[in-house]
Amino acid sequence: MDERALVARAARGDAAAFAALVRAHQSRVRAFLLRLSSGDHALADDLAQETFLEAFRKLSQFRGEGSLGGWLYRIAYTRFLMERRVRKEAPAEIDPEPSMASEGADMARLDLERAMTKLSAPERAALTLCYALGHSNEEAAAILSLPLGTVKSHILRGREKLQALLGAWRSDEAQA
Amino acid sequence: MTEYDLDKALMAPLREIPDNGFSQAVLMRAIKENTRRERNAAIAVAGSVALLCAVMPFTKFGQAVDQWAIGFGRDLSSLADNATNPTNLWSLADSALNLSSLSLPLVITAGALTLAMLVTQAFPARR
Repeated sequence: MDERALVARAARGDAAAFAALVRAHQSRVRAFLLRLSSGDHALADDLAQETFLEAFRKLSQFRGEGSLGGWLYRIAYTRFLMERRVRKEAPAEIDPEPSMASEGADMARLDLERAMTKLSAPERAALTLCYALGHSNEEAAAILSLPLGTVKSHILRGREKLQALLGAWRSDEAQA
Repeated sequence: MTEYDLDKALMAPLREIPDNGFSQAVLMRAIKENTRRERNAAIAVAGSVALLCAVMPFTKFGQAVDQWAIGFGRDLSSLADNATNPTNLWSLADSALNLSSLSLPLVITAGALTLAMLVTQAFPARR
């Protein structure tokens, strides 16, 4: 069924339509939050649940101007920022040591995830939205509620940091 | 690491996360939350009605209703008297007309009750 029709039905209180929407979007929303929370699965899942519950409550306010995915990422990002403000904890530090066998797609992914934890939350969010989730810079700016120029500079700075980190790890690995 | 390598790594789609009961858990929580909201709305309406009933006798409107109720009881008893004495049909019709003229407070009360019911229905818009 068409997503807009599902949204309309879910907004009228159709639980089955809402469940279908959750099933369709859960993987990407959880993966987005997992990256934001530096690999904390429990936190990412809690935030994802809160995101979908908030979406359920506010579904009638969704006007369909952007994609439903974008709207969900916006709620997820706001939830993440609120959670971080409440907890007032430093972001989780994952061992930044390079993988000794950085060959293959999995190792490259692992290295990238490790390097991502070194970025700020807006940098991580902007890079993930624009690269992995395929949103334009304008869409990312709307999702993150940031000016377009700020998003562009987050992307630029994030890329530079990643390149430096991944490059250093690769050269350490080559020396070893 | 080259720009190309970095782009390739960043553009790789995010890892697919299996549902494993996640959507079911969200749905259960949504239903639970809805039930709680419905119950809270019902409690709020019932509380408001109870408060209104408690305060009503001390208001001018409540005293007017009280007077009307006394009059209504008197009219009813006279209507019953006339009904048992069918010889005075004109008096019966007159009593009925008096009742209809006193129907305004009745309409207001019915309206308030309908409004309370509508509010109860409107709050839990989702199931």
